[in-house]
Amino acid sequence: MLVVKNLSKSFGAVKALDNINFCLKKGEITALLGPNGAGKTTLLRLLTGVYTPDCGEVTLNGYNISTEPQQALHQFSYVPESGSLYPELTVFEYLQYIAQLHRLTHQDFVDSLVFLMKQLDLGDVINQKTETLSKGYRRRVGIAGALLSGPAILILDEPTEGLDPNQKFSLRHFLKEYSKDRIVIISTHIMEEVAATANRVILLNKGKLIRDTFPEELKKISPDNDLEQAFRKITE
Amino acid sequence: MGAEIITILKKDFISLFYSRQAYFLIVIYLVLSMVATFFGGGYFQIDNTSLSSFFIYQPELFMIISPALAMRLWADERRYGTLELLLTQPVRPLSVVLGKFFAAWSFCLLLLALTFPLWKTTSFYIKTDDFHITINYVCCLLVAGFFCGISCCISSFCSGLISAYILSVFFCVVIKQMNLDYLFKQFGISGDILQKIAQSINFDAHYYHILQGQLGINNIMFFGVSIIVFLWFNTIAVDYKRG
Repeated sequence: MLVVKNLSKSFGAVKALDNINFCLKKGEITALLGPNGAGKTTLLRLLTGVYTPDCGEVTLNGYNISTEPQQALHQFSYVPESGSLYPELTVFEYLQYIAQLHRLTHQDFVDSLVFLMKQLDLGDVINQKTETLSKGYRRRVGIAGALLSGPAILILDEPTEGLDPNQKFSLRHFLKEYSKDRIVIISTHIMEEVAATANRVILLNKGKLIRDTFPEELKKISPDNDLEQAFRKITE
Repeated sequence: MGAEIITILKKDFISLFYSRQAYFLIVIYLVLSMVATFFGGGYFQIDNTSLSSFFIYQPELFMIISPALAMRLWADERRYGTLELLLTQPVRPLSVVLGKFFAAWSFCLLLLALTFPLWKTTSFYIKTDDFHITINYVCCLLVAGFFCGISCCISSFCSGLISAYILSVFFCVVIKQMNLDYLFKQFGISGDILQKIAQSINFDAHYYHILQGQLGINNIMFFGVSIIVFLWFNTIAVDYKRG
């Protein structure tokens, strides 16, 4: 379970997030929506402990990210928007490095690697330097790194950016399967993605949580039952 | 924690060789070392049983080499956008700091090891004091660690490679040349305790004390405690960067 209580964060005079509250349970794929500057990335960074909150708390499976960071960091994996990888490492070396940081045994690493290579179609590039990869492959390698340890909570910032339609389809299918006994959070601008993947939507605007609902409920706000129109109507 | 440190050390040590910077630094260090030994140190003029002509300028060399090593360790993480990824892995900030520090320090060990042929060649012609030379090498390694500690700490505060390098060299020079005893005398401040404190944190006094073959526990303490303090600041900087 992921619990966010009274979370606020300011950067100087700018209030990036103001009193955010929600609770996520297993089996949910939550889409974090909002226009640019709404506070999505700040929220993700607070959830993952990259930022420390001004007030409020984040608990991941009972571990507070601020006071028990080591236990909390074992609960989730995060794929940042930049999809940055170490250019000097091959895909295999990168995944091995991440596995070692997660203290996976060699057998667990091999098992995860074989599974993820098949799921994310990384077989052709496994010995290629990450700097030579296309954007889509870089994204998939980043996601593979996050999935290596089989985290209970998976946090993805713009997961399908750079992927072709086939890859998008297979990743969405994979995330749906993966979320059956886990929590998945995706931050995205793409409504098609929300409609195809998410079963819950958290909408942020100007640092405030303005809707915490289901995609179907959100659609009803628009006369045409359209997510994009509903998004515009709420955030404009 | 040990496994985490070794994982980061291995990765960062190998990364140094990726950009060819490591090869460049090896060449620069060896050339400057030999120039300093034969021309600055007067290799052929002085008694070289303890290879003092080689060791005399080592602090100055590590003052420019260590920042070049350390500037990449943190600034590259920021440049490639991997810092966010690293900070969300289940590793303690201290393990990351130590892993990166030991990667830079291991490289300095490699640099020093590459100068062993000078020792062996010298011992072929004259009877060298091998124990004294070994102590001097250990001292040099401590000096390299001292400057790596400062540089890693400064690098973690900086976002650019150049600013990290310039600031690190500046702080290395200031801390090495800092002579509080002299300053106290200039400002008319006196007192036995102050004088003792000033002497105990004087880099040159410790280094040249060891070069004279008088390695004391206070010398080791000076370098050891300094490295710990710089790494502690480095850990604070990483936490600060978390925002």
